[in-house]
Amino acid sequence: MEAVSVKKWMDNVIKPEEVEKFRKNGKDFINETSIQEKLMANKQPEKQRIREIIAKALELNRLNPDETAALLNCTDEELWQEMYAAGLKIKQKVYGRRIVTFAPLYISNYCVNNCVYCGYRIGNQETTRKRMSMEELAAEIKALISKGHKRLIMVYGEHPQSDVHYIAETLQVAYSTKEGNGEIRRANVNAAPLAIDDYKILRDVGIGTFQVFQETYHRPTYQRLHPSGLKADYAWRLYSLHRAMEAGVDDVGIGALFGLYDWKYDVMGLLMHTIDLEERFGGVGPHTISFPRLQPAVNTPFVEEDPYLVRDDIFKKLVTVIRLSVPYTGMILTARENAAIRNDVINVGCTQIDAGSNIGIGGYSEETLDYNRQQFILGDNRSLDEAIRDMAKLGYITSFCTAGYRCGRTGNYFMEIAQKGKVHNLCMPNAILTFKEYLLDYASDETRNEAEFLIEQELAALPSEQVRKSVSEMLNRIENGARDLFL
Amino acid sequence: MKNLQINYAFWCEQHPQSPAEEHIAFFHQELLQLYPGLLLRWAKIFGSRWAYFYGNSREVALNTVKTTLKPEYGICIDNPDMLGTIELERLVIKLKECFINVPVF
Repeated sequence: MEAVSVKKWMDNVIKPEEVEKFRKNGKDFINETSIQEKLMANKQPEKQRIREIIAKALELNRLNPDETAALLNCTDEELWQEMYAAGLKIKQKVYGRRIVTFAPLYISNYCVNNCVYCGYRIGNQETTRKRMSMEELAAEIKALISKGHKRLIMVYGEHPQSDVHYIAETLQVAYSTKEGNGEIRRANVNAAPLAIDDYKILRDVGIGTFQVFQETYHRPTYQRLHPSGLKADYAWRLYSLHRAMEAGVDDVGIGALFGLYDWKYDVMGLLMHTIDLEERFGGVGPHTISFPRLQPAVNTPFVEEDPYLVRDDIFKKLVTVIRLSVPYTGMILTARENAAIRNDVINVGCTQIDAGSNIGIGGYSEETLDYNRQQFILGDNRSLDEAIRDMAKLGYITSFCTAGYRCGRTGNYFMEIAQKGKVHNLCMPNAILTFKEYLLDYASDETRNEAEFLIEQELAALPSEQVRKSVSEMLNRIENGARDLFL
Repeated sequence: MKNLQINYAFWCEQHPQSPAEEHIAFFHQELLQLYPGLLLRWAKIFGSRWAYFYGNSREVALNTVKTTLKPEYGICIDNPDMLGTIELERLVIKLKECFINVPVF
């Protein structure tokens, strides 16, 4: 594609009026001074106050910015232990002992942006550029299905070659590709911010969640790290999910890339983002929150010199504070982190992980690991089967459930039942059913032997006799060949 | 039940050019008058996604009946036992007939 047409395309992407309409009196919901003041004002929280805040979170109430700031400033290790325990309690209260699992699928790495920390940046000459054809995509999806995956997050660089029409076409391929007993039942998207009419195109083809991460909410840092391209526009990105919600995409995912700026500030940013979405859209905030940590990338020296890199112990703390701050929202812990970190941090309240991940474009069908085609370097290279077995050892049942969005359990209905801690009444039965499918169709003998006990254990733990009976009947039907059964 | 279509036709006369959401709100109120206590969730359909947008159900239901009323709209009834099978079938048939005239969002 010639440079002139790329420039012409870029000139038409950003619509300033679709930023302005979401501002309050012309002001953004991120107020840098206010965040810094709250962090300062809650610098030395007392023990009793921290415990009251933990108690509030345990009641599944979202925290306010002062409360989150107090938790972030806690220096008492004994209290942190209490917070870790509370994170796990909240997770089990809202979601039960299950972990939703998905695969990332990188589709195109052409990009007009120049994010200094990213391997896909336009200025990185060492990255091998590729955009999958629909045939290549179908082969990738078949490879993923054959491993047992049912949920995807499809990832695209920002470029006219991967515009909204291309994304919509790839979603249709994802949903229509079958392999054996399997298929992709939920395709989420991580892509650049779109205009409202473009979101409607993705809505109409049945998108799952649309994710846009702000990377950092600290505007001066954001401007420095995103010097050119469409992503240089902070506000266009800040309101991207407001536009998605307005367009009717009612599952959206926010996130920050930890390591770009002060971690406390960016946790506050995620909370402010949640609050603004909830206030604007009738109580419906983000469906998920992601908290990736900056990782090395090919020919990307920025990472080695970065003063804000987050240590492992701090990472666990920031995940815990997010869990307590927004108790009812899904939290995604990705394979950027190594297996040991994931096995530890998952216990403070994470609800979703990716597994068996390959972030090289075309990597699943080719079964290759090519750093030159990756945005960054993965920390956890366990196969899906190994990850599921490890989760089972930790007592977690892996869920491939996709029933909610197919049954009208979205938007403020979903939020209300999540906030009441009732989601797991449906989600745990569906986790059991999808896990059974996985064990029958895809698991290794070792995993089947080590993980099958979870079916009986979780079935017995279901609170309703009626549900237990229904799930037992469905399990028998799955044994006899039925698939995709859910409550 | 017989009156549902008549009432809807009358309502359409009174509310020309109303957006789809108001049509749905009309049916919602009509059904609640016919069957007080019925728990309903109305959804817009986009591919596999049933996007909830209106309703009075706030509970997790285990025997929800999910019905497509036209390619763009569906209804989830969270307590269908309240109606019984025959009444439920009649209701769904009537709703489908009426929904032919509901505008697409």
